[in-house]
Amino acid sequence: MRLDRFGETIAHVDLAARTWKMKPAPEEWVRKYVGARGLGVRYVLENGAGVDPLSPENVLCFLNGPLSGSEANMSGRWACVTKSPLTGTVTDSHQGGWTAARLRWAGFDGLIFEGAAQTPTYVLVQDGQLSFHDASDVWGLGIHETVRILKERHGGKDVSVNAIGPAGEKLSRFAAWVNEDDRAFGRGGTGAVGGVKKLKAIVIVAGHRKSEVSDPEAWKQVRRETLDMIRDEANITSPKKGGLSVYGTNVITNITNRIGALGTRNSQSTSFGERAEAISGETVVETILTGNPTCHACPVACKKEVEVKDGPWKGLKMESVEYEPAWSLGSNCENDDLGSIAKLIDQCNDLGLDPIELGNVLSAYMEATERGWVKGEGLAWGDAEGMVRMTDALALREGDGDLLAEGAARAAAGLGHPEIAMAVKGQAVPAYDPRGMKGMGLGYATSNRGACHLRGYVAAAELGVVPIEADPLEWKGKGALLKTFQDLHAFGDSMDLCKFSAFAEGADEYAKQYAVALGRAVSADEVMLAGERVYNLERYYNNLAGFGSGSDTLPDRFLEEPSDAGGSKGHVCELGPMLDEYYAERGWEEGVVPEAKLAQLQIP
Amino acid sequence: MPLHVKVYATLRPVVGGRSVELPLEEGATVRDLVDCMVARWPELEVMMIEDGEVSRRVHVFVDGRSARHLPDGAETVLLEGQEIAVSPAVAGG
Repeated sequence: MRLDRFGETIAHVDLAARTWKMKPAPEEWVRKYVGARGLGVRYVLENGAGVDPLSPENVLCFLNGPLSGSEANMSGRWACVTKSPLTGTVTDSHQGGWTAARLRWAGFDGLIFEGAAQTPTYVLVQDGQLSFHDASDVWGLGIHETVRILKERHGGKDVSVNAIGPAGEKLSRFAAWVNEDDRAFGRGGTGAVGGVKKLKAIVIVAGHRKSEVSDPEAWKQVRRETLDMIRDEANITSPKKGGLSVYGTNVITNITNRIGALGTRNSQSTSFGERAEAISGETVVETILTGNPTCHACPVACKKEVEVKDGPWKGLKMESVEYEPAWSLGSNCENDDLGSIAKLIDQCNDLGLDPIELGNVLSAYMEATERGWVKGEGLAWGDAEGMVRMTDALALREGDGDLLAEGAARAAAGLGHPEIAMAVKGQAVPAYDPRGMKGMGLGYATSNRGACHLRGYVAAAELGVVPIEADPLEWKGKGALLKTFQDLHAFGDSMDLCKFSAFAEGADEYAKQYAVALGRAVSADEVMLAGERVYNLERYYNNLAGFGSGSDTLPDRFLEEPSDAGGSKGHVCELGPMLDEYYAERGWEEGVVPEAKLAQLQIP
Repeated sequence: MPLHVKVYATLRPVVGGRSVELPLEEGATVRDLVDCMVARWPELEVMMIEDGEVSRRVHVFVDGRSARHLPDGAETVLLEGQEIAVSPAVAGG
């Protein structure tokens, strides 16, 4: 498995004709856009920005990066890139687990699906070959059952199954692909694109293959160096010692709650008070933790496997109670029942839904219920059993669930009150209230895939875990800070390394790994430039798709209603001046990439 | 004044609970709080003190604001009635 030949084995799959052809990615694209996220965006651009995302003409790209499946630390990632049915922007999402590695070991760098199958179909990828199979018997089934059946059918060992659930089949605009039961391509509605294509699953069978590089000693050395950084006790990634490793992502709930950045009751409040403790990572570990599973080539093991100990969902075993769903389905819905949060996350994993959007659409529906805008019973704050029932109805598009399956922005508009959707460009916000973490607010507004915390994780600076430290309540300087994070992550997502690698590594380490793996010397500056190019490519696509001046904004609630609790009390998010700073740093004109910038970055 | 302090994340197994009572005197500062905790649980020194100063690996939150971002920093005087919490610097997803 030669890492320097990345990009040569991309399968273009015509689902209508049931044919496929291996075509190398253009060398220029691989050089400029690296792989995974960046390369995927280039393919999506090539398909045209005007395509209807819920039509067979949309292209669905599953792509590895040059490091996916290698021995590089935290490299068990691949990307799904398409035009989003939720936002109309280009979107990319990333899964951990073992699927990316198995795809590489099976002899593929990526799978690009075009057209739509006539009948439910799944593909099998094995030994450099791809075959088409009837999925009628698993169509309509949940992901857990689909994974079980297909794994058993294809040998059980060394098998990864990436599947959509009923939500994707019913074209929910926030349907997700989920692999190995619980690692999702969340956000953006990639699962609905699979539903349109009648593509139920991708089954990959492959045993381990070792990487080949031109300088094995340098490869060993760079991996040792990065492993030492990840293990360093000063870093939160330190196995079994750092906060991220011990408690998982949910380690921050108590902190964001304290500083006034944990949205509550559809962001009507900025703190869940003393009730936050019940949904925190500390409580998960102290009460329901059963294991610490990990992904390919990752020593951190941030995933938390749990078993619910009491209540209606007693006995449920699942992973993983992350920070985002603990917020979206917890404080955001005024729900402090940890067992129900585990149940709702597991429903997302089984039905194929994005839990961030689910929590937001439910909280908007709850607010509408409270204000008397829902005909019928509606849903009360904190009604955990009602949330579970509504999630099933949503996935099957039954009753009000049909409207809610459209996502928070469309659902709130359908209820006649678009202002209660906490969304940007049609995608709901994640778990950092922009009034308490202002750089994150700027990040939501300028994210190229709709509101997102992962395009530029400024939280690392605002929470003080990286050397560049920033006051979460200060808006000045956040434009430049965010650009740095966005560009670094755009490169990391294109490699494809776990986002959390950036808690221990930086552009220097990314450059070293890239150089040794691909045999092409690059500097840290070139890494940042490549990230900037990917970010601008996405923005260029979105500009062509109709996003321009005024698209980079936040819900009025964050701009006009002051925080009511925690350290941010009295604050709003000063988006306007931050945007001015940011556009100046980017060289954009009101959110549009000018021709000169495109030429400078050699886009497309 | 006995000060009630909430503790988070990897500090909890060390102090053995979700909060602690610290016997601080009137006029005690954030730095005094950190010193008091290190004196009581010496294994916290590696996390809480760096080059003789309060480490950037730890936050002392005073009414929800990290002392690092308050005008007086580690010299911020703690007052009765304030909500105090101590946490290692952490981030998630």
